[in-house]
Amino acid sequence: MDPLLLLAYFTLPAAITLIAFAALKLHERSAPPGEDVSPSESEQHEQVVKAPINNGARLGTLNHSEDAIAVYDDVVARYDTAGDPGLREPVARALVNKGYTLSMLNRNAEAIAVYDEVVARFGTAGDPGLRRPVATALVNKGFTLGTLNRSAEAIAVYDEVVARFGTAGDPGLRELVARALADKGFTLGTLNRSAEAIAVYDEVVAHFGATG
Amino acid sequence: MSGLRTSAERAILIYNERTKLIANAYDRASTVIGAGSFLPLINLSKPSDGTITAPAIFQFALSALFFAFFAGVLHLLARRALRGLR
Repeated sequence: MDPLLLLAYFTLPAAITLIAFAALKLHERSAPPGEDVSPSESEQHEQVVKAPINNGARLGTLNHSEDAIAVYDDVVARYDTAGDPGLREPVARALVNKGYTLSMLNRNAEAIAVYDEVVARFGTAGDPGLRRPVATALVNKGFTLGTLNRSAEAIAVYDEVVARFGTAGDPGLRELVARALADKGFTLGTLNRSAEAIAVYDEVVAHFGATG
Repeated sequence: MSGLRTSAERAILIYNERTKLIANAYDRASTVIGAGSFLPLINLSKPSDGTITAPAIFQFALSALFFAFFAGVLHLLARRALRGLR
């Protein structure tokens, strides 16, 4: 066998393995922020709670809404009293998802009560992981109020989202603020307050138009 | 309107899909390198008298071990990549 070919033959697998290792390291470094590759004990607890929440979401999309609500209730009952700060976010998320599922069942009053509970319990939290469910609860509440033709209240809720999270730097929160403004514009449009609606849409473009 | 479809969640979704693609590619590479260990056998099985001599078999065994090692490492890298799923 040609010595050069032999050299290439034996060097190739080693080179491929080294490149693969380096590529994997680079990929792991590009992981989204806030998540560690090797989770701590508290984060492992969070991951254990995420599974039933995801199951609930799947049940919801499969039209097993009552089962989904039971799953969310179970998550809240199990982890609400745990006292672990890391478990507050999954509990808040379960409540938000429960509210959304209730609104899909046209149980809007109950949905609004659940969203209010999220805001009352976690509204003052500074943790970004908790601020997102709170913002989502408010946006969803505004939307639910809009479907009930309680437009004035809906607009007030959207204003609350902007007041609370308008200056947030977190991309997730910024997206929710943009949605609140867009939904506010839509609600103003349904009230024939077109000039105000256009002003709100302009505000969305001015604030978020350059976002990549 | 959905539960929590934020850009952060979408970033995790994209990251997970990339991770699965990487793990898949590594496992395929592992299979190819594993199969590559048989190449010397083809080459070495063509001596002048048409038989494989003892040193050639020894060379083949060593070469197979070498390739199997890297195939194994790549397979383990694929598994490690999958452990990083969120």
